[in-house]
Amino acid sequence: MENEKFDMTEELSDEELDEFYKELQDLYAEDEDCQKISVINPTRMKEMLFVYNVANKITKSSGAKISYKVNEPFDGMGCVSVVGKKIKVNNTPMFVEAIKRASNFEAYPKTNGTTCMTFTFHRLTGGSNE
Amino acid sequence: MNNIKCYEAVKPVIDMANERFAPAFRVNEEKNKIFKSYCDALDSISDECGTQSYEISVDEIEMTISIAVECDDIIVKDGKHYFCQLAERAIKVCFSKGEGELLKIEFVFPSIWDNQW
Repeated sequence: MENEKFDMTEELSDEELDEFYKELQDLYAEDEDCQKISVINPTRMKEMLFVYNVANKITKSSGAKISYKVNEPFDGMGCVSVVGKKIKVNNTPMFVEAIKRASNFEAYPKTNGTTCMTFTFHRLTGGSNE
Repeated sequence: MNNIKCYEAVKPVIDMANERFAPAFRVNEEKNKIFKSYCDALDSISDECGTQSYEISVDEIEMTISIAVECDDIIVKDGKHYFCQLAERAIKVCFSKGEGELLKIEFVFPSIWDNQW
């Protein structure tokens, strides 16, 4: 693997990091032996963890259960779920910021009488689904 | 699709609240204009999500206006979606289960009344 292009002793900017991960993805896609290797995108992972923390904060008074999963619903994706009987969002600007960070936001009723809000993240790992 | 416009459903409730709050409080026309734009945004969401009904109430102490819509679900793929624009302007948003298998989304908006004294 060629790495002369990047000076690994200095911190990469977000754009350089994205370019680096794109090159890694392309590299692994070419090599059959590397098909099972996933490269986590730290920027995207940080966004998912940000949304997880925000969800905890803005629904604190609801008693809702907040969780996150990686490689769910598909490989390379992640999701933050908020489940409760009545989910009250008190800090609406932060809530909207969380929606903007996610690839997709969905809210729906469940059959057990609770409600679920899900923030889905694409491109969590290299070679992932868009 | 719901044929009732949101503001048409809200107006009778606002009129009743006006009578209760008068003469100490009166509608601020500027705030009312902004509130009408919220109702227009809710109509857009209704058309998209297939809203079944509107539930409107006015909190007598805080004088906030609550509008709840019921729909199958809501999906937002873009931060510029009407839902985001509306949620940012609400004081609070609540999600719960509505009638049957429907999702109930309640938006609580700021008061449109000003103290006259």
